[in-house]
Amino acid sequence: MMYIVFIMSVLYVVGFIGFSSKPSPVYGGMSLVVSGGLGCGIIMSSGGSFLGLVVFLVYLGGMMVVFGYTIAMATEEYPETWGSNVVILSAFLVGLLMEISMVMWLLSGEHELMGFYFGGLGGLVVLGEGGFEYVREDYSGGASLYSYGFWFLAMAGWMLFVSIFIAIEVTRKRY
Amino acid sequence: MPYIYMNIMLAFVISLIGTLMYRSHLMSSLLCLEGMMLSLFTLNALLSLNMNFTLSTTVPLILLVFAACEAAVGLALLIMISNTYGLDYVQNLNLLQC
Repeated sequence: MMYIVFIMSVLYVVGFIGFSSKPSPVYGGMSLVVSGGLGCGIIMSSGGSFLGLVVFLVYLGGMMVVFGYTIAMATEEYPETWGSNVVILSAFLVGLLMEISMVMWLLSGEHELMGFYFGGLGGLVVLGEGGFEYVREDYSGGASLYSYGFWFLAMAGWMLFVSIFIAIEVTRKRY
Repeated sequence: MPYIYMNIMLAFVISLIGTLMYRSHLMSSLLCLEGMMLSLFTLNALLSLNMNFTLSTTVPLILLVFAACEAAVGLALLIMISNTYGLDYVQNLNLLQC
């Protein structure tokens, strides 16, 4: 149970290999949704419940839904999956082999490369939620967007506004 | 360096390679771009939370806003390609021949 976050991050990488080996976008979108859910789990294990919720609501529930119906609009009759084409299957297996070899190299002990120590038990031992028990860190980060980060908010709002106009202008037919 | 950060950075590199290598669909490259944004969000959130940089938990939210804008513009371009050519195959984009 101690290694559950590590297993989740390995499955996260396997999901990334799944859509990066370029099957038909229908299956790629499904793999991205699975990776998004696992990423939410990884973030929540470090105490970021607000940011995990943001991943599910905004990223998966907003952006992936838009990608989903755009894929449904521009898709082909026989979508190719990981098992139907040898190119996709071999890309997936090469990525999987690389990930498994990296995991085995990490778990084989501690290595050092130019001052960085890989493979120790530093990342897996979960330190207690010490110190900030009365300040929820990620909620206060979201709230400080309106106080300290007001300029961030203004620029992000302006960019969203301008990107609507960009989308309208791009999709207007000009003959 | 902890294991989890290495896995997430590896996921970023994998989707970067996926973005740069086209197969038949343009939509697959846009999905790999979204994967890059997701891995950057996860890495930012984990670093801000584990190092207790409370104020920089704003950064993943801002990153997500910019990723949404970028996805909107990318999808608008894909829609125009799909309207002109019927499908979003990359081999249809052959007007520029040099």
